[in-house]
Amino acid sequence: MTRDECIGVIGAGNWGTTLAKVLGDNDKRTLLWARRDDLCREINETRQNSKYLPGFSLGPSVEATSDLERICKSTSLLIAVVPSHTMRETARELGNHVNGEHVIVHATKGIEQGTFKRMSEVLREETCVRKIGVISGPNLAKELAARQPAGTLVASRYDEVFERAHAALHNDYFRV
Amino acid sequence: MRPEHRERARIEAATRVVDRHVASLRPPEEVGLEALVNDTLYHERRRLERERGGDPRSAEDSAFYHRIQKRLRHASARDLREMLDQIALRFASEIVGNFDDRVYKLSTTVVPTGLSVLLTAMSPGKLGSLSSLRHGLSDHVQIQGTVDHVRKLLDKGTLVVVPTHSSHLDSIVLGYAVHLMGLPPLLYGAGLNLFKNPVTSFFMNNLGAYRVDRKKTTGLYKEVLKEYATVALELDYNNLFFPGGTRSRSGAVEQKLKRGLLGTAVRAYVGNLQSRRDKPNLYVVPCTISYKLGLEAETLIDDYLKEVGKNRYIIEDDEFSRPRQVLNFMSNLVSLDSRVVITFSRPLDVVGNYVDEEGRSLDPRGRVVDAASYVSDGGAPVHDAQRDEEYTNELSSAIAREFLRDNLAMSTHVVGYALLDMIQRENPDMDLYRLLRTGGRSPSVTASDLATETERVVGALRRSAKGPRMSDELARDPKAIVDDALRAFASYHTHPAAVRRGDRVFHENRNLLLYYGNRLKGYDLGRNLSRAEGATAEPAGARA
Repeated sequence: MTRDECIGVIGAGNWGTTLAKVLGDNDKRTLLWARRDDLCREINETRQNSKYLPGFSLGPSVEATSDLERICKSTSLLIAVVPSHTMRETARELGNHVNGEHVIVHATKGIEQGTFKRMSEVLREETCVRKIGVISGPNLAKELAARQPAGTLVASRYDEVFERAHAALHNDYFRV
Repeated sequence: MRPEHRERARIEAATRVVDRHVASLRPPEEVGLEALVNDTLYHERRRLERERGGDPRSAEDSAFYHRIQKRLRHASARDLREMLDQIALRFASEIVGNFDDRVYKLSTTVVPTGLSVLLTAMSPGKLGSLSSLRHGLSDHVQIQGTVDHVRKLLDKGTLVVVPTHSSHLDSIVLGYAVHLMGLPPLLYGAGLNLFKNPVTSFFMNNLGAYRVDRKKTTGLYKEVLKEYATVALELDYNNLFFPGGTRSRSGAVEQKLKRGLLGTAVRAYVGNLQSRRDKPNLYVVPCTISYKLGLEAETLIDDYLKEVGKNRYIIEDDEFSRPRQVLNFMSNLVSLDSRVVITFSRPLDVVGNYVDEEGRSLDPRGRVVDAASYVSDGGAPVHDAQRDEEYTNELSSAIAREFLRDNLAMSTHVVGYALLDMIQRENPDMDLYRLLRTGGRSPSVTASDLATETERVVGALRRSAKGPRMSDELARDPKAIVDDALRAFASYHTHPAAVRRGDRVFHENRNLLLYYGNRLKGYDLGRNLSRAEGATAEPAGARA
């Protein structure tokens, strides 16, 4: 599916920045969300995230922003990549801006402390979104950023989720 | 369905199904069409073989399919399409129900009073006073929950009421409750076997029931049936579906729901949005119907316990088919000051979100959501079979959750559970089925022990976060709860579940104890009771 020209990546840590780089390599317009404005500025001005993915440049189609609402209005495909202990807080914030048409694929490992809930359960509890999926595989951020061949899996109950994640991320070095 | 809509719904349902099939065929078209006609013929012939010697309708069906078979040999694609149209229309004609205003008025005014008069005539001693006669059936049908909320939603869209199902009386009682609430009648699908009961067939035929023949196994029939329900919703008929598909055999509140008819809600919603209807919204209203006594309890639990019974989907010879038994049940219902309690749960949208009184969908945090966005692609409403199937699964889970939350625990359920649990703990080496058959080492327990156990069960239920609601009688002291349950058991069943003799309570029909106790399944009672004791293990003998 190529419905959206734009993809939102929520979280500009090591793995989030790497996935944004893959999307940039695929020439997809990408909005990368970081909570800190100074990090957004650095990414937009230098094309680099020196703290979380040093030594790798992001493509020109990637733009960093701290404006969640803008991301949600610009795209209906979101890739959530925040640490598991901040997922609930971020999802709750996200919940103010998403609607039933949005698709969220998360790429966060681990379960929530205390509740032992999966990230998809947390997203379900904090947002109205139903089309939720997970991306996971034997992937290392540095290897992927260096375009070393890798494979990953996307799982969801909704066909649309993996079709759209595949269309966005799949390329000749990253098989989805 | 009103006469002015019947023909439209019949044609629309049949045509949509055939059109969908034809659109999905790969060329050459006639291969797929022939396969579909043949498949339908095969299933219908098998059904007719099973029903050989049945009613005149079967003979007509045989002749009809014989004619189709003869034409099939030299049929072109156009002929095949015509045959499919004929078959689909034949199915639709059988399904389409009727609605007669005069019969509805009769049933909602005269029948409840008449029934009370009839009951008094049968057992005058049991009806305490004339006042209970005056109030008629309405005294014994208690409606609670989100009644005002549901009334408000009626102005904003179409309702789909989805109740629990434990008796054939459900549709009648619920139909009456809907009348008491001031809502228009609900359209509902009733098994063909219900049309055979002389008492009810007249009302089934004229109150808006459409016919569901569960013996028809062909896919084409099921599709026409679902499409008919979809068209009815699109025509703004408030519908009643039993999402459990059939009466609960075990006595438990349904947790595995059938998605077939339920899926028509999202389909109709998309249709409404596409045709830009003024009020496109559909509201799904889960509802639990709780009886202190089960009219068909003995047959249902026997069926549940029989291996073969698991396949016996349609029971035609149960208590409901015996008018005297129904009247006996109703008589006891009235004389015991017992009630049928109907609890309306919080209404949901077609994907399982709660809906507020303005008819707006709410997310889990209570924020307003645009329901149309769930079925939109780039802002336009679209059908998507896979997506909608998953939405129906989500809806189904939400309904099951509401069923558990609003199920009403009554004395018969608590005492049934407590007594069987005591027997199981006293006989840890026996499996449940042997225990049900033999009763274990002792035929009785002391009344005081049963009261103590009853108190523990009530306590565990109150601690459960999932529900259920507790009936008023469970606020009494445990001995009174036990007495209330035993009185109810003795009042109706041929072989009561348990009877009191002196200081002991004898378990005489353990199958019934299982049936009533199963109503409390789903609340982790075993674990909660163990926790209360400080133990970690489940009680011996898991429940079926």
